[in-house]
Amino acid sequence: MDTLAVQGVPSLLSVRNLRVSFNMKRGAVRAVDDVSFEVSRGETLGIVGESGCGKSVTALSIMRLIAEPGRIEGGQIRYGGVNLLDLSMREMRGIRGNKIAMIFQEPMTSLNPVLTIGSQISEALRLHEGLGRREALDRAVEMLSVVNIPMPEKRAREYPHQLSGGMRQRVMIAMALCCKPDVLICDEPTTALDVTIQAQIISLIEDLKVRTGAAVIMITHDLGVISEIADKVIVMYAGKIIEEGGKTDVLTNPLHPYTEGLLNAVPRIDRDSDELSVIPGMVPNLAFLPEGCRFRPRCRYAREICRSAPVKASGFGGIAPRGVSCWKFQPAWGGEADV
Amino acid sequence: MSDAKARNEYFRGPAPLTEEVARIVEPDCRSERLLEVKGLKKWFRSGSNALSRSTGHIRAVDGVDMTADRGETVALVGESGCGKSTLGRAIVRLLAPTSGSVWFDGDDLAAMNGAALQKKRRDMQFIFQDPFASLDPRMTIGDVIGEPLDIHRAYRDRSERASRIKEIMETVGLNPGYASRYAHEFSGGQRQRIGIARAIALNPKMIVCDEPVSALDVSIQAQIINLLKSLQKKFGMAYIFISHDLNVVRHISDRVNVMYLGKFVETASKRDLFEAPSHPYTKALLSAIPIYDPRVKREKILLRGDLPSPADPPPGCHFHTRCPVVTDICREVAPGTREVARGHFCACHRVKGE
Repeated sequence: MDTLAVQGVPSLLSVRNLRVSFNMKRGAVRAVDDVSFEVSRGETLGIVGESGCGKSVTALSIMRLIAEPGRIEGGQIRYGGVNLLDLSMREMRGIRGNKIAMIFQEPMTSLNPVLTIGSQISEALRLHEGLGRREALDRAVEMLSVVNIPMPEKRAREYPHQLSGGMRQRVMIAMALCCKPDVLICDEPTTALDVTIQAQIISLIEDLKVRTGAAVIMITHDLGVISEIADKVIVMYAGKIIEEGGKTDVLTNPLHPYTEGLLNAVPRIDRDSDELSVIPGMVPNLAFLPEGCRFRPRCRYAREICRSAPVKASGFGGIAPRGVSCWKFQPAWGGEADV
Repeated sequence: MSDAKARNEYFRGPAPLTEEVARIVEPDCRSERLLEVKGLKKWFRSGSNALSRSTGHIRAVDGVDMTADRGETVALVGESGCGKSTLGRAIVRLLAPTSGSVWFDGDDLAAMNGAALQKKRRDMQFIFQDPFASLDPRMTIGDVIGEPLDIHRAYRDRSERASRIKEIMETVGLNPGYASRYAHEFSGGQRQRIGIARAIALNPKMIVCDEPVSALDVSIQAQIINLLKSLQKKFGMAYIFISHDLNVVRHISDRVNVMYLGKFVETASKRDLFEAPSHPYTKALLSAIPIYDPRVKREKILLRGDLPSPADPPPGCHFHTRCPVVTDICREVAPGTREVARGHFCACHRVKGE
């Protein structure tokens, strides 16, 4: 998977064989299992999957924000020549919010209700850049205008409850971008927002990415959002990456039966259908995973061989490295695979 | 046989749940029109507390006309705060309207009260958005589904009650063996099936579905949408489908009403609305939907700003503050609704009628 480095674009952040587990009453549950990917400067990586697939846990691991009973079991998160997992909490604080910033889904719960917008944005600036109070506040106001908030001086003196949902998400983005991070992680940034506001936020993130050259990791369940903003995509299911590749390749020529199912299960404005095709059943409980391929009980192609864990197949051409974890793409499947 | 009757029979399908059949084909309700809402307003008082008098009203629904035929799916779409949920609740009298009339199956619900309204309630049901909050955690699923039957005494004895519950559970794809379990034992998709089971228990003529799939995962959404469609085919009820997801709306509805700050800005058949939208807000809304195929390129209309507060709506056309084609008259005069094509209504100064 080092193809990008081979192509001469050094990756900015690379995650290798990440494993995260949570200790539950019934024993450890592995929420992220052997996940690897990388992003380069100016690139947007989409991570897509349904609830419980491990996409948010992956993001929180990069920020080292996994708390008890969760634990990063193994793997590497390489950024700027170091493995973030080796850093002390103190060293990590110098990176978190400064070099790697994150935007959360629910802006209301991630903002402090008793502090003004201005003081919350300036906090990061005072902490990471050592600015004075006045200076930091001026920069905060400047950031608010960068994210297209009208009357930034007035808004900086207001509290989160006085802003609309779209505006709060802009504040989150302003806060995330005020220290000019190299990597911006967005966890479902538009899920709580209306479509017209979602379109504004997506175009804002896109625009800021181009201006600052940051790498963006966009986590979402919405394949439409991926299609709008990502360069490459990884699809996760029950803690594992099941497919990856360039956005257009994955969305127009899905290889894994799950990706195919997801794309067919959504009603689409660009396509007519009378009945939606359905992925039967539901996402498995991570404590009781089926043996072999985790998608097997819901998969319409499943065969006996799928009872053992699938091996990743790669190649297939395309812009970004393409891979799929499915027996259909292994020689062992036999000749009649309808690829 | 009249066309209307033929169509009703088609939608009802061969075998409704029980001997309720007799009730449905009463002679006085053979007409196509099931629901006719006229000039409906729902205002909430705002800014009032013990120390100050009311400072104004939030005009959540501000003069809406709409209709629904038997067996039809009519969508209400719009962004949060546009009043679509309030409208849905005012239609079934979960909220008392401030003014206006709601003719449902021959009676004005807005003027009804007490026992008469209670009786009418069995014909209109509601499916809620959040399948986690809308089910009583202390009731078994059988009782949740049986409650409407209890209220309307829709059975003769315990065994008929139990067999009805079993039948309803099977209809919505729930294992009847789970009737004695509690809501927390079910996943989101299954809970939404329970909510649907409860809504269809009395074989209603209309169900208001308030964002029934927005809280569900993509792969589960499709299951619920297909279920709603097949139930409609089988039992012929009308749906008032409230949603902000235009992809889903396009899939499920026959007619669509686009709402903005308490008013309808456009009403059209699904086809007209998605293929030939005329109101600038509808156009912007449609252009904002992410398209799944990255090879399809389209012009996006980015609206500036947020939805204004319904407590203090802008003068003239409510949409003028964000409208890309605003002119002077829009800032002063509220546009009337015009028929721009047959059955296609639009409230905009810039759109010319026929």
